[in-house]
Amino acid sequence: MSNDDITNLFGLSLLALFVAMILWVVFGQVTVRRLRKNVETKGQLGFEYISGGDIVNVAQTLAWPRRLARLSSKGKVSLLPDVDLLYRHTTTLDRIIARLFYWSLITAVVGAFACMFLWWLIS
Amino acid sequence: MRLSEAKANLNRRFRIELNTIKSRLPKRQRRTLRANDERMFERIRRTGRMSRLDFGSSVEGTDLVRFARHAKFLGNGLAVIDFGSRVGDIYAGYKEGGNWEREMFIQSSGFALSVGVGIAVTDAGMGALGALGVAVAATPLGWVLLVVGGLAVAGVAAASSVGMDRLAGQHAGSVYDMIMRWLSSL
Repeated sequence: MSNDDITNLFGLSLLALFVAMILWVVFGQVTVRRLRKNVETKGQLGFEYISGGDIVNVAQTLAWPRRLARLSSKGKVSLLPDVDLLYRHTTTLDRIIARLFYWSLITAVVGAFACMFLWWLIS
Repeated sequence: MRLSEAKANLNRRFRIELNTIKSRLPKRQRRTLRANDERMFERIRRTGRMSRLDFGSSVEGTDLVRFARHAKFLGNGLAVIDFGSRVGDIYAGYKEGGNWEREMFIQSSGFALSVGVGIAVTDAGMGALGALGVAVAATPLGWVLLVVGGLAVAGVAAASSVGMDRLAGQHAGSVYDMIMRWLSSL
């Protein structure tokens, strides 16, 4: 694998990141803004250690397989929103955007990690 | 999290649990227990169903909530400082007559990558911790393991965030060149 191939891969993961950043804002405006105002879900969107972090919390909870998300959000310590609460307050469109956003973000992250590893391997 | 609400909820559930356990005991023991709160508490602890985080008081709980707020403030502050220094770099490149568009591409992809990777890793870690919480919280060392796990998640997220910035610094430039070559070949 040559340096140029890895640069291509890195470029693709930057592209996925670009898409994810746009969907981040879209999902934040379309869904999370509504959830932040809703009395029942207000303050229930997980641990927000940086502004906009709750958008990823919500997206991850909706994008992970429901059983897995339930396992991690109903444990004794939960820093993530409650799955069933979110499913009650979101529509199919919200979930589609959430999944597109989350998985494009993860594609970018995995791609970038792969590049890091490959560059380390050939250097 | 509404702390007072959570506390009221906890107390309600605790009372329900007490009643369930009490109703399972023979009548004579029930009378003894009612007379002696301490023994009742001890008895319930021994049933092994107590695996919640024991706050000493609601004051400690409030401290925890305040910590969460400070963490957010710190996170935002760091992002602002980081962003500011990047803009400074681009401006310096522009003033020196360098290729500032290329510098802007490198800096913005470094910022986006480190923020995106940091948040994604932390969130996946929080999910894993939650699932781990189900498994270990019931054991005596459960809370220790969870705290260690939390520190590990924070450490991995910070390290990968810094690593991604370095990666972008080293290689985003060649991606920019690649895009420019492709654009000029059109």
